[in-house]
Amino acid sequence: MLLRIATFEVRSRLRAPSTYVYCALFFVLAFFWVTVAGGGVKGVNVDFGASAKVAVNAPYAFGLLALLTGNFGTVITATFAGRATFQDVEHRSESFFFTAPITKLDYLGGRWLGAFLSSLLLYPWIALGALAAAHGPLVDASRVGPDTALSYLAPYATILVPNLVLTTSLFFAMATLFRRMLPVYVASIVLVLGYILALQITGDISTRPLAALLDPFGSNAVDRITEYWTIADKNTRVVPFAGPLALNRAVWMVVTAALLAIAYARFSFTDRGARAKPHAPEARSPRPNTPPHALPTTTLDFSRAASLRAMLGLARLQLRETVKSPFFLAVLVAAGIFVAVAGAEVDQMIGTKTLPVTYVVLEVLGGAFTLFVVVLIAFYAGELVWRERDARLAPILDALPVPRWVLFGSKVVALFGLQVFLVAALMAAGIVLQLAKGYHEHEIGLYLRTLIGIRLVGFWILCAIALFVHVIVNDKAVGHVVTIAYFVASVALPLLGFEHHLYRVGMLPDFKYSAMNGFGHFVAPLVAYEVYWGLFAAALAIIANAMWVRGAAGTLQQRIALARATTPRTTKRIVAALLVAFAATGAFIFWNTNILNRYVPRTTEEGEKADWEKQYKSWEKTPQPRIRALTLSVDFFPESRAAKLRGTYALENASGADIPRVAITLPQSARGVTLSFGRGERRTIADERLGFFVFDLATPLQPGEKATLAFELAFENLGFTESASDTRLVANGSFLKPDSLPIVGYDGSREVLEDATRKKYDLSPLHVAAPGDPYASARNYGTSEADWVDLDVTLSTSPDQLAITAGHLVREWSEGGRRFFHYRPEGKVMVFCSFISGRYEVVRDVWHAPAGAAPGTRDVAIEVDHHPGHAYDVPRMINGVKRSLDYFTASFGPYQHEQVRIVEFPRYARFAQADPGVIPFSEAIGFIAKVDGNDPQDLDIPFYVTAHEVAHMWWGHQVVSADVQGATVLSESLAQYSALMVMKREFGPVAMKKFLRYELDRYLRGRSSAKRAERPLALVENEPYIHYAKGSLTMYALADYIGEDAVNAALAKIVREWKFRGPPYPDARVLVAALREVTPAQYAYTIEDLFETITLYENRATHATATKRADGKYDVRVEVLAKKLRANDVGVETEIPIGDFVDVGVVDGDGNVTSVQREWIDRPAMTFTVVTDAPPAKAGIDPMGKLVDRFPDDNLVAVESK
Amino acid sequence: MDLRIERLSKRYPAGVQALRDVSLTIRPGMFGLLGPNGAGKSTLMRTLATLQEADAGEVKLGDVDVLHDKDTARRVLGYLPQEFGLYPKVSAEDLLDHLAALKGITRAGERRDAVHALLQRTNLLDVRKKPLGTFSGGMKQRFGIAQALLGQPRLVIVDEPTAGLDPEERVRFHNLLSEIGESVIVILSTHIVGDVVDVCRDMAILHEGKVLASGEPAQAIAGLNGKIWQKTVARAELEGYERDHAVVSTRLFGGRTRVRVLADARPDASFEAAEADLEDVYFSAIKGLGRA
Repeated sequence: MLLRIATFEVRSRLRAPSTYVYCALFFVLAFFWVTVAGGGVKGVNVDFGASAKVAVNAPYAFGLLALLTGNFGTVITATFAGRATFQDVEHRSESFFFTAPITKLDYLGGRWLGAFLSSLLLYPWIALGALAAAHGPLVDASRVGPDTALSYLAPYATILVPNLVLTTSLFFAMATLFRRMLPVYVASIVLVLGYILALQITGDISTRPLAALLDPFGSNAVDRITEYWTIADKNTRVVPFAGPLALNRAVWMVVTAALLAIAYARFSFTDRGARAKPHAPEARSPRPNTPPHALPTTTLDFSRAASLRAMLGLARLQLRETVKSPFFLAVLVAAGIFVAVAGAEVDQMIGTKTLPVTYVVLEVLGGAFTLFVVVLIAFYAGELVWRERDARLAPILDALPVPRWVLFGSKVVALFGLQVFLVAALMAAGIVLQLAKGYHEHEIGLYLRTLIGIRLVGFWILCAIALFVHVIVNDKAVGHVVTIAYFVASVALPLLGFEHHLYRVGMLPDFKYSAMNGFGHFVAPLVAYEVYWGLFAAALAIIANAMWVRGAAGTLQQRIALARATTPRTTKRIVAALLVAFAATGAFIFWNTNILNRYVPRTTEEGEKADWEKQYKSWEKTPQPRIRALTLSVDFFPESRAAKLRGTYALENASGADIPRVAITLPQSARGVTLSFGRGERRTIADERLGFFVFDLATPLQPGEKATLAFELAFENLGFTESASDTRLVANGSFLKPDSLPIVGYDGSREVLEDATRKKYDLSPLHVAAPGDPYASARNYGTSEADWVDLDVTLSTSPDQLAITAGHLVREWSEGGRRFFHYRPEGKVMVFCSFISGRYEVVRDVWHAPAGAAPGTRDVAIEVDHHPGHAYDVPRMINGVKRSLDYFTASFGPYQHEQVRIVEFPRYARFAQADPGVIPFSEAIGFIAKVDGNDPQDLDIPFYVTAHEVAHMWWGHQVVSADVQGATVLSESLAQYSALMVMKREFGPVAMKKFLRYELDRYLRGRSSAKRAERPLALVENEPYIHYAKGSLTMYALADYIGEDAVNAALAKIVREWKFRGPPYPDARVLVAALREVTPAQYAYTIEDLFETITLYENRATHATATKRADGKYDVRVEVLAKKLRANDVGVETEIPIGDFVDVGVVDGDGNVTSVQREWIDRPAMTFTVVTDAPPAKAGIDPMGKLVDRFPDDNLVAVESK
Repeated sequence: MDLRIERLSKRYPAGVQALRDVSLTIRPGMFGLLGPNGAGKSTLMRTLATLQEADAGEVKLGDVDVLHDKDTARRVLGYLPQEFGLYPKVSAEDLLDHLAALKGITRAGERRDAVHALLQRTNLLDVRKKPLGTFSGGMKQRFGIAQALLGQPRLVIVDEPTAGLDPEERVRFHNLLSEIGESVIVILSTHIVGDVVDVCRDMAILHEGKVLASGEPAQAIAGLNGKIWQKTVARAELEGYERDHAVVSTRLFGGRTRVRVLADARPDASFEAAEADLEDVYFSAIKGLGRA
């Protein structure tokens, strides 16, 4: 019987056309995903989490696809599973089934199974869509691996089917318990919230296990398993049903089973009547009908005002009903939990939190919350549209003498009101969150501007669209799916190369609030698009009103005909007027984004890069003059977001040959360009689109001959742009990077980097020159067309701003209502310098050279130019500068500038960099950090970033590498090492453990998703995960083996030999050789392991026992397993014999290493005894995590007492 | 003010012709629309209640074009649909008040009085504070008529209101209807002949979308006077009678079957004369008896 009921349900589903629409949706979704991931859309590179090195049909890649499409499928499952029992409530057919000779199990089980199987029938289309795309003509064959049945089937077993069991059961239980559909949708919202919440807390390594458990869809559990998988793993391995995933599935299955059990227990065939309250008692003895007296006459008011009041009354009623519903309360509670947890993790970097300043809170709450609100809008739009029909009150209401707009208008107002309610709740949540964190600068104005001016308007536009969809579709379940599909599509369109907001219905452009620059130039496009989509939404609303179903619906054609016939001419004119205004606004936007400015979608951008390389690469090795000096003036006009650059390059032909033609590369955004050598040259190439110019000199430049290039160019911002808005020039905090200057010769940094993308444009993979390459060794990797240069810069800006660049301030003056600053660094520098203008508060300090410092060491002025509200972390930065100068001047040699000046720039970018004596430092990565000074594990991020950048004054500005493989080791890895050592000295080794764990995470994740083949550290090709993360680990480990002093001695020697030298420039070989020299023989192997190969470990502690000794100390016996591996460039790892010194140690209850000894490990399984004073908690191998270990969490094991 | 229906036709997308050329003129008073299930009654009622589009034809209430000027028609319309629900958690008084406001009774005092009077009239005053979810079928139906009478409608349409009511409730309901049916047009659709006999001054019989007969019930019955004959037969003989005679109806009566036939003269001696009633009119109409 159970099976018969189930098959009946499935058969009914198969007869419904919507089922086939859903199948098609899955197919199309999967098809597009794989096509896009496979590079089938030119100019679009999205890998959806799997790197371009992972085949699109690899088990891992298909697993990701299955996960996300499965999540989308939840909307459909909600309908299927919810209606499994609700259909009987809705159609009043309960009594047929409840009186039939079937058991409760037959009925519930059959219906559950029917719903489950119906949903399951849709899922093969995901695999079919993926398969079709992978073997379709659009996807490059090189991106497709061998199909294995397992790779397509495994995700079904581990993810899709368990998720379907979970969601089907949850929704089924909800609908069965409450006999309504609303709780089902609420449950789906809660599921989505759980998923987002889990995602939110993955930034912090320590909460990742929780995230893996919390996520009802299991995707964070999968991520936890695969986070350190190599490319080879991802291409071949199937996500095992083990560890966090199995745990996650088990927990959620228990939840599911409990829900089903409750639903089963509470469900009864007979208690319908009993549960329905007893009939109202009525005076049964029929009072003979009251005498037939006339009913009181009433005055009927059909005026417009009365209708308006009726509409508002209806709206209020519906809003109250919605907000007061226990299900809405459930949603709010879930959202509250979300706020509490997500808010607690206002993360910055490496587990250090930021201050909960208003814009950060708004981003955390607003960002992820938006998805939640969008789902809410979709569902409540449906609920409202169907409210009367669901209650079957529609025939009465529809025949009432109220105009149609009263009925539909009340829905609009109610849904709009709901958004106001949500936004108010969001604001309250934000303020409570701030208060809870002891932060009291609430910035109510910012809350209101963001939440009302941007979020609410955006939500309202979506509301109008969702209502429109529901009215037109006229089927609640299909309406939900269409609405959600619309949301997905508007977000996904850019992935297919359709980026412009002009056709992404209802979408507002992104914006970024900065404390320095406020909403800045994001306001204009936001307002324009709000007006644009607002007009559109208004037109949709009026059309939806005309199409509003009153009485019998009829076919869509009939409804359209009726709507036309019944809509007054004035209304049609209003719609026409709205659409005209919409088009006019669109034209205005288009004029701004595509005519005043260039609209450069990613497709075009990528194509231009490829064009650049194809057309001009031949110039790369054509000898060009070198820059010897730069005299420059930069005039900032912050109000109009413009800047004017005028300057002169002193050039010299340093090549051995005549130079008849000089090439100049300019930023593509440069306008008003004049370039002049003043020696009768002729311009033969002038490519303004790509920014490439070539001049034929009247007389070639002889070897050793000097010349000057006078240039003038301007950057301006007219109107507003589409997505890529110019954040270099803003009202406050303009930040022109070095790439704003003309480049002499061909600029290689503009080339397309990724192999997969290059292939699309028929470009062969890029190869960075090998160390020793004579051409590349003659160029440094920072400023390839210049060597050591004399710099002289005059800046001017508005009178209320400071303008800053490299060097010390020679003179400052005012003239013609503008402020001028003249900067000149001592000595020759790299032309790696930025130009900044903003309103700053300046904090000054001095670092005093210690007595007995090396010759050449002198006092250094310290200056932090910060946004007036951002004084929080300035002392940490100043401390960072001082401790860095202490350490570096003592270890590496004198500092070369008169000052260290830190300058804050808006958070449009998140980095800091080192210019000669100046450190531009993003607002986002240290100015609002909230460091807990009492927690030794809480890393002082402002201090760290400062130390890293100060270290660059040596590594990058004194010693600079040739433009070859391994270049960034000499800058970034050494800056990381230097910063680490300063931090270790300042905060102690305990803080280092956490830092190293994050670096390990970054390295392993980085290599797991690398887009290019991994190389050993000494041959790194500018990959951050290698030169920062692996660099830190490597240098820290080496210092640990051979001693900090030995490492520093080697580094000091490099500085002595290579300071301000080149061409030819040094490279990583210099470093490796210097280190090898200071490394004792027994550790010689480490140089090869750390620098020259990719070496990994799989170390594990298996057992530890402690025995208390007579002297109060403890003997801890530790059994460890050790394994050493070598990886090739795609991550294929082979075990090699181990013969290494590795730490074996004991950790106390607080996680501090109390005793550690270095042991020689030459067998896979060994046992050691460590003596410790404090009671041991855990013991194991490599307790500090210095080695690269893919499973770092099993290094320690709890100690058993004997 | 009469309601004039002229050549009204409606075909559903599925192909069912629900109304064919329906023409009727309905004067104030109770009007019974009789027809079997599926005759098109509800389609006609919904069309008159502005909730269904017609393909062709015209409906005029006085000067008001019901089909095209729906908003005006709704101002004088009271409608009790065949099937409807009520918000289960709202009280009768509150919902009626809410509906009264939507009917255009915007003055609070008047609205209160009207709601009170209607609740009293429909005998729901005692339970006015009770949630509607606790109402029995009869109470619900009475609530339905109460809301239909809000705002002095000129045209009241009640669609199969007595289906599912017990006899006592039905009588009460009829009384209520006939009270109001004195100055306004009340159209009552039903498939129960008794409903029409009890309360209607005029009637029409609708079958397969066509009006088969219309007029005053008494007149229609008079047309059959002296033509109805009845006889009690064994069940086995029934088939023969149905073949040989114009059988209007057969009814089980104490275990045996009583056949009524239509004939200008007594078919044979075994038949006895019977007094024609509305049921004979109804059945002979829908069976197409007595016509060429």
